[in-house]
Amino acid sequence: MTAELIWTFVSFILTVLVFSYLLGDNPLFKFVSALFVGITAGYFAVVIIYQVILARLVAPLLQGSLVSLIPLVLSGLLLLKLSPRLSRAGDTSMAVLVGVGAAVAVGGAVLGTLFGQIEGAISYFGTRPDGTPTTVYRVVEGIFFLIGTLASLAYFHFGARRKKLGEPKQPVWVRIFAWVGKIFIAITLGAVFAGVLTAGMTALIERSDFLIRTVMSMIK
Amino acid sequence: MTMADIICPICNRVNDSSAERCWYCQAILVKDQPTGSENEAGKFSGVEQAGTANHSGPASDNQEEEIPEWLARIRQLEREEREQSQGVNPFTSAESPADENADWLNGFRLEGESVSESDTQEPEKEVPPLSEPEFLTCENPPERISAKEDEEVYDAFESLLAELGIGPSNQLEEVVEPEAGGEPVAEDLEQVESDFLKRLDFTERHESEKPSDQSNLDSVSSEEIADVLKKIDSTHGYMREEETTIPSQELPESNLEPETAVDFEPISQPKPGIERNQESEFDAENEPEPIAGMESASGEQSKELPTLESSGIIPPVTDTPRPISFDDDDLPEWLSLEEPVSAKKSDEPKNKPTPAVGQDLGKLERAHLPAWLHAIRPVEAVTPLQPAPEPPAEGEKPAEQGILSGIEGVLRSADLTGQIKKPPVYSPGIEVSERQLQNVALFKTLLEGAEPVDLAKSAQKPPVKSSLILRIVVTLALLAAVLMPIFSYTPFVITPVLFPAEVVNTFSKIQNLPSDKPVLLAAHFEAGLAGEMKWTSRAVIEHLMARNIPMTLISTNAIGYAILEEEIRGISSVETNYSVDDQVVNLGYLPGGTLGILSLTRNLHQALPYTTTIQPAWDQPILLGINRLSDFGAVIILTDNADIVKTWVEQVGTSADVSPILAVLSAQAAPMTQPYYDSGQIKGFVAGMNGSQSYEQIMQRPYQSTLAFGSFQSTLLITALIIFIGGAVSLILSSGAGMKKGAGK
Repeated sequence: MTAELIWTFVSFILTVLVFSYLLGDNPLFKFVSALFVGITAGYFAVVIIYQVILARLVAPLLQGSLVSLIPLVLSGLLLLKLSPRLSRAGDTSMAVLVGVGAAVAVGGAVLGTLFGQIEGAISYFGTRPDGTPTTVYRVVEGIFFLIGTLASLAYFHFGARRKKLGEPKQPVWVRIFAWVGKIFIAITLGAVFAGVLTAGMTALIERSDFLIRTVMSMIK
Repeated sequence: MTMADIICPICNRVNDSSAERCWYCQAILVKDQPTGSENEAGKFSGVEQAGTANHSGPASDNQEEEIPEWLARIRQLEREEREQSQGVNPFTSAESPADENADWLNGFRLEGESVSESDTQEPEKEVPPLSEPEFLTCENPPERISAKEDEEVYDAFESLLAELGIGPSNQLEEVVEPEAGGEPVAEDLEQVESDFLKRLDFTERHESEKPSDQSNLDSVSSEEIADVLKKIDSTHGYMREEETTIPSQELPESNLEPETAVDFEPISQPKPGIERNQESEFDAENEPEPIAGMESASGEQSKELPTLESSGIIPPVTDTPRPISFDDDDLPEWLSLEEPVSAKKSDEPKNKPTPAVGQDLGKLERAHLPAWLHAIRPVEAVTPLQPAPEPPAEGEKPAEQGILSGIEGVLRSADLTGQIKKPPVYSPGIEVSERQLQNVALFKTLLEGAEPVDLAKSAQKPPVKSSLILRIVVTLALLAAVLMPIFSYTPFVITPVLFPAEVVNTFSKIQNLPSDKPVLLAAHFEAGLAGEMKWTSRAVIEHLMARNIPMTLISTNAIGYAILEEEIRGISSVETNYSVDDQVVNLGYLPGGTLGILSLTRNLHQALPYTTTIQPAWDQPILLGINRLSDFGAVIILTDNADIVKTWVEQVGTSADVSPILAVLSAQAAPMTQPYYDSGQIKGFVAGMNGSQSYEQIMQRPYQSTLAFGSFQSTLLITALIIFIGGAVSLILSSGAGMKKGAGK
């Protein structure tokens, strides 16, 4: 019996145990869940030690890189977060992480997503990204995208003016745009749900195919 | 004492001849008064000396001549009566020390007290009877003097009273006038003397109190105090007993020390009473004693002592030393029940000698408010008179109550009884605004509209087997949809004719990649979707292997690179021409998330220094010459999360020096990735089994996705059907429930 066959058999058993959840929550499913969590944690620890600490901290220090002392100190301070009494010492590391992460994320969002999407929306009315001239169909498509974008933004516009002796009301055109935007948003969420459902069905088909192949191979 | 000394007619104390006012009582001194030497020689003063036969020398002769006739007649009568009574009264003895100290003013004072003992208003008048009046006790009555001499003496005495501020005494004139016409009656004389003493004492005190702003108030309060004193005397008999018994017994034994010493004596006496009890922590030994001379001079003590006496606190001050014995018989009932501390304090003056005045001068005297100020002080009404007792030293006393009772060394909690206030009284009604009423009405409407939950029924219900049955039915339907196309010889597959543009672009990009440039495969997906990613990426990887393009594997999560390597090794078994060991370098996990991805554009070698086997990454043959991302032929992102694509686009795609970005996605990430493809930020992507099947069709190498595409389509169809049926049933059930509810109403 080869190792591949053993691992195939183990995978088959574990897959069947996971499918046992169809009959409700049971100890077999709990066992598989606990096994998965334990294996994942152990695997993470090994990966962190070998590919982060040794490769990116210890090895540079052994090679004489003094710059690596900075992450070493910051990591040491971050470990102090485990102690309630000394947790304040780790605030510096947390400040570096949060500050730098937020700055990088905001900069990327502005330059990558905001400006990129604006440029892409404009391209419907001009030349394509590949330099080819636009077409009427693409202009109409661009108008449709523009309406959908504005309507979705109008749906999330909650501001309203208070009229004399009355409750605040949004202008009519804003409410119409918001209603249209609600449709666009519903379609978008439906598409996302369909993608999630499709991914789930694909996983089901892949596992079912695996079980059938394994059984067929065992029968043969 | 020198010959030039002058004796004060008021307080009978010796002053220097140069003094215009008495050093002690500030009374105006009369220069023609008998000197101290004369007083010392005869122990008589004023007019009394003139009436004595023991005087010798010219001075005494002159005094005899100056004795008024009426006075000499009175003395003569008294002497006769005294001789008849054979001198029974011990105070009438000429050898009595009291006689030496008595003067005619004291005689008048005693007479006044004896006449109207209960009518005495001023405490100063409660001087113990030192002796009988001099004119009653003189063995040698004054000789009768002529009317002229009498008139001269009367004029001199009247001028003396005028200087003292009394003014012309009508009463005295009234007394004198009948005396001039006939013999004075003894009772009238005593009444006159008493009235005279009252006026004299009042005038004396009034003069001494002139500098004080409280003169009026104190004079009023002194009368009130005298009333209170009389009441206390009548109740307890304590004060009167002190006044009457003690001096008469102690005076002969004390040998009558000089008056200066006698004045200090009351200071050393303890003053038991309420104030001392209130000041329980106040040490009697350390209590500073007032200076008698100062008090008598300023008159403050004379006003304050009646206040204390009137409250029954302090025994009256006498001019003679009084050893006070606080026996139970002497003490009043309320004082006999006092704490032993008080008794101890009262005993201390007994045992200890009276300290000299100068010893306590440096100590601060505890202030005593005048009676009128003490009565009108508003602070007394709101604060307790008794100061808060100091807490005992730690460990001194055990706890008296609580769970720690009996344990020594327990810190005592603060006494909060004085701080407890009555809780505020609130109105029992509730103030409700209109808006709150509207909310209540709305909430009531909601509650009435909701159906009550029958907990009993729900508890009695058995475990829901219908859900289990429904679950099994759905599972079996899906499994049938999966398995039926596999085991069916009739194809259920509807192959798409049109291929998605993004898939075509992806194929085009990979098809146009140079074979000498490696491709960077960046994985980031979870193990749960590894099967989908395996099938989706298979066509792309086979395409790369078919073109013999080297691959570099990284992952931004811990498990991505392992699953991807295992996938590549599985595909390599089909693509036998492709050597994984030579063409694939696994650089492993890239930590840091967004920062890690950004670091790839900054310093690629530093971001990914080693392979998964801890070998220098950039020394690998396929990575030689790779220094930045643009050196890769393409960057292919394999992920099940659209945010990973967005991050790669934001951090890497904005760089001008970058290779084309392609993506292999899970079906759930496709909708959110589409905008980045439409904007040209990624050059193409393959999403889910649909994209993979299209890619295989483009490659004209149908494999796993094409074989399982029938199952995929049937499963999606069954799933859509189940959703539709479920929605319809739910709609029907809900409408039926609504109809029932409407029928019920």
